[in-house]
Amino acid sequence: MIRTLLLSVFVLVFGLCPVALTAPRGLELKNQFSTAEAVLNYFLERDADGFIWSGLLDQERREFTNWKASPARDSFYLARGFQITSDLKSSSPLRSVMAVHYDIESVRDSAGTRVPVEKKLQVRFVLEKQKGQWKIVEPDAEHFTPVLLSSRVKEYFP
Amino acid sequence: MRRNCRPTATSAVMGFSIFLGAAATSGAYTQLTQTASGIFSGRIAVSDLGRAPGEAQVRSGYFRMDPRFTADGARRVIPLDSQGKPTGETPIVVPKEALTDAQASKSIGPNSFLANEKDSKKGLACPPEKIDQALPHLPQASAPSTPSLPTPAPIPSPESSSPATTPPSSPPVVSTPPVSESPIAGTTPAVPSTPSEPPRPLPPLPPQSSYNPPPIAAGSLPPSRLFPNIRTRIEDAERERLVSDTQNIAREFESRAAEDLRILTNEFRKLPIAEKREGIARAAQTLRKQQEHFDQADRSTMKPGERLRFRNLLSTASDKAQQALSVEAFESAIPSLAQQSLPTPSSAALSANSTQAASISAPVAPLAQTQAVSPDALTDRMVLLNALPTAKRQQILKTLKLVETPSLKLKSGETVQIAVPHNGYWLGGSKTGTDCSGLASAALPADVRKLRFTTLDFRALYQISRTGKYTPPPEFEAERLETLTDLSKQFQAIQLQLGDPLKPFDLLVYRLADEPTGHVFIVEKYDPVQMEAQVIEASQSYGGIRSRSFNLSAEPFDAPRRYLRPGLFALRLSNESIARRCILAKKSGSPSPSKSGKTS
Repeated sequence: MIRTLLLSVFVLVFGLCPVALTAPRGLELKNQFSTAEAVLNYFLERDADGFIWSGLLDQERREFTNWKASPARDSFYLARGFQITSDLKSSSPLRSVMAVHYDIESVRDSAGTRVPVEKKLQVRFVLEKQKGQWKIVEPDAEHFTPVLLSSRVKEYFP
Repeated sequence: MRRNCRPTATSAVMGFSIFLGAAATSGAYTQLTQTASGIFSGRIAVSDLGRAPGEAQVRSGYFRMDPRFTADGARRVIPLDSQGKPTGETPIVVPKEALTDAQASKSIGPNSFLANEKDSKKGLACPPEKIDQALPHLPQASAPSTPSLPTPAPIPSPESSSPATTPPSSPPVVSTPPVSESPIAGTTPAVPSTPSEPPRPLPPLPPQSSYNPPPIAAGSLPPSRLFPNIRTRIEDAERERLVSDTQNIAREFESRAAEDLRILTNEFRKLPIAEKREGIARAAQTLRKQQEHFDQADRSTMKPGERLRFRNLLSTASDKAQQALSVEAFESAIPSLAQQSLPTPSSAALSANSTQAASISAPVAPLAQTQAVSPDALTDRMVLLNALPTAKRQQILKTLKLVETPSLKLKSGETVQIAVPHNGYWLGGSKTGTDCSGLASAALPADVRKLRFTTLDFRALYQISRTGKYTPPPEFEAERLETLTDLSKQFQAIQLQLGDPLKPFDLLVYRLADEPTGHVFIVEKYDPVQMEAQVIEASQSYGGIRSRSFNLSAEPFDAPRRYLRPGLFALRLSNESIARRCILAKKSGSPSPSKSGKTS
């Protein structure tokens, strides 16, 4: 009974919206997205290709996040896929809270070293509307770990 | 579980973090009362290294015992910041009864909490029971601290639930653990106070608040027996100067990147408008093709991370070029074209940095990144280089300073050579770039820089410095091992796992023998409470040399135990090596042997 109730609450509060990724995402120099979901989608797709791990432009960082510096990580997660869920309860017109559920397969570094890690990782993203633009405010750069999609970088990290 | 830490002149000044259950166990456990002016109340536990890890809600952080005594034999504990300098806060008075025998001795040094090794071995020199007996009238409560007093960051205690997580209003009330099991002073419980008991008045203190040695000119080394503190300060100044030299290496790369961008923008501006548009279109195509070459490159050509990094940069540059075609002005997509000149580290800034490092009292400011080595400027350089006509591009390539031309062997068997601009980082080192170990090798003084060290070399140096011998793997060639053994005398192994604090210019190295990668940082400054180091590194993901903070533990700050990251160790240039540097500088008549502008 309690389990069913909890499940119902979960379904009501979180709207599951799986994201299908196909082609690599091109660069957007201006943040012209109208919704927080679109901003987060763009960010996650760039992350999936490894742009957040290495090669994030300062201009891009300023447009899509309120980070003061780019993340500094020598390693990253490799995931099979991810899903985004919206936390409608914690969201407001100027603030959007979403959780990204990753299916992690390993931890990698630039030399290609593979540490097998089978786990489900959940990262909570908070976006705020600042001067008409949705920007990622959480997690901050220091606590952000890049997650690359294995299908996107299979030529590099098989 | 208890481990004693060697009391040294420097470690006595600096605080001491607690790792892996290793605790600064020896020293005074001191209970203080509220002074007449109401500055302090409750208990404070002061370790032998001047650290008060317990009762974080009362006061914790770094302290030094004043060498002088008050009229009634009490002594003052001077709060210090993480750099070991007085914070200017009101000193804490330790009554005579609460002092250990060593601390009550007139022979104690200005920076020593312990008089001798004997006290250090005794462990808790002044147990809580003794304090309670000596000061029965004290309020036993962990009364909330005075709001005006700063509350330093709480310190995790490995032996107990973290005092850091305890809110000030609800101190933990637990039974006093036996000394042998819980040597950490911070684990000693706070006892509820009796508000009716009046605080014990203390006599007025001498006017001076701290021990301040006179300034000493750099380059002269007084005998350490007479002036231990002065010698330490001179050595520290020399380490700061080495950090400053390392920063100048980074600034040299920035200058080169800015100069390359200036050359490319000037050449591009000279083109007629039609050729500009044509060139940008050509650049978009060329860069996309280069990106595909990186995608198709054989895995043996470059490390995968390095290939992915340049693939991404080329992809972004291609996107930029494509967007520059679709907008009215190129400047909106290639911002470097809109700028007349990029800020570069001027000679004035370099000399100011050296002057700052030469001052004993002023530590070197962390290195700040400039626009010239941003990924944005790098991708602009990629676009502009490929937008030039072929003949012009070949001519310009000879003048550019930060360009490499790697040969990529494709899966089809074809080999292509690509001109790739970079920001100073090139994995494995190159003619124009460096990597982390290359930067560390270049930053070392000339008499130590016998090799281009790898992280495996640093690991061997650490091992030999610490144990006196090298244990494979890996197997070094006999000649290299001999050189490393010889050089190990110039290094001191820092025992991070025992909580030895880092100093400026320490080499912080990550390396496991059975993993194919490692990393080395050069320490700019260190906060032992948070285990946070400000480091300079040649970073692959960043693509250049930068300054950033690096925590020695991956555990959250409020974790009960904060373990050291595996594979992490630190090397310090020995005092003898630093002293030799000072003497050489004095003989040559210069304030310091400068390596400004040198690259690996």
